[in-house]
Amino acid sequence: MLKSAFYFGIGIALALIALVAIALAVTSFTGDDDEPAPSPAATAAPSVAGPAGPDTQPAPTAIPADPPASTDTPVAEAHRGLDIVTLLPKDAIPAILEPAFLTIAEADEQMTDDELVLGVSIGGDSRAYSVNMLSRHEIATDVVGGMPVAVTW
Amino acid sequence: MSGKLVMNALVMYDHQTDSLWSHFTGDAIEGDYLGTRLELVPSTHTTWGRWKELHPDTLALDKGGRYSYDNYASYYRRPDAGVIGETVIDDRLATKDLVVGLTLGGEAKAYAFNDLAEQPVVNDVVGGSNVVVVFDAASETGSVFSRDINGRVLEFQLLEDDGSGNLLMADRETGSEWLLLTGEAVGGPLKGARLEQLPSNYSFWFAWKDWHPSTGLFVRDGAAS
Repeated sequence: MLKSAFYFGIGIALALIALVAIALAVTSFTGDDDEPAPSPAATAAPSVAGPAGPDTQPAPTAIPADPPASTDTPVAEAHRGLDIVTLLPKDAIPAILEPAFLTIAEADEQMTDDELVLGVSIGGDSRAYSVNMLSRHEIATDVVGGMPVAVTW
Repeated sequence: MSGKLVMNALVMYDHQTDSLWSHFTGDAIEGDYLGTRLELVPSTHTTWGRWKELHPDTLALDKGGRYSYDNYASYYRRPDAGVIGETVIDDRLATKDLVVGLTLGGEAKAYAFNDLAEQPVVNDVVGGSNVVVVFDAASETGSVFSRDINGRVLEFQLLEDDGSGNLLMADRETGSEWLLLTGEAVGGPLKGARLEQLPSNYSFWFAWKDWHPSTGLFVRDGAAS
């Protein structure tokens, strides 16, 4: 049922799991954290904001929460969309590379029933990944039912 | 995590080649793997309570007793579109409306949570494939299954809650009863059969239509068009 995954040199394949696109620099954190949250640079707004292409209206309707100082800089068509914007140093948000797992009874001691999870079930191997934890780490690499996957959020 | 974003989506790097990957589509966007796409695996966004009920043998990621709340909660509620703003303007939905996003046979289609809440079982054809999109508002669960099974195409309708707490649908062809969220037949001639779950994205509308600017959008039965 599952097509073959792509394999890296040492046999790690990443398979993509559903996601909300998360914006680091515009996120505000509440103060009662029980663990230091990743601290994105709040001033690291990119110099490109809401470029408009030929098939769009001339201006975005949403203004970024932290707009760049200059908003009248023309945006080259070639730079729209797939610009890669650097906001944080590599691994400032550390991926979960060696996830540990609990049984339902064990997990119930640290999770409420209404807590959101991403669930993956492959070949009878079912695993739930807490969205609260994924928000702090964004990626968990794992092997589910024999398939190497990256659970991303 | 690379510390980078592309069109507001997380950019991953791999430890083997340092290539950069968009987590939204699985496409390598820089490095040795440029031009390569990772396979999207079916997953389910739901509550812990619902997931363990559906998968009584599941394991759960150990949080070490931490992470009692989502540090992005306020971001989810605000209308702003990521960090760089929108790339494509498409106001059929609000920026932060949640959708189930599906790409099949070169066709992209989004199903808004708000519409699925009104119509939790949607029989559709996307990119030539027969699919059923199912939804449970209480647990924010949206999943997609193939309607092709054993050489026939089924059409589903929601069943009234039987009081057991199980969400069920029935197919018109055989009258078999299926668990809505797992696609497993639990009654009728097809009991024991299981629909194939298809990969889908759980996404904000703004991100979905930026990455899939020609996306279709589901319009529910009876809605003004």
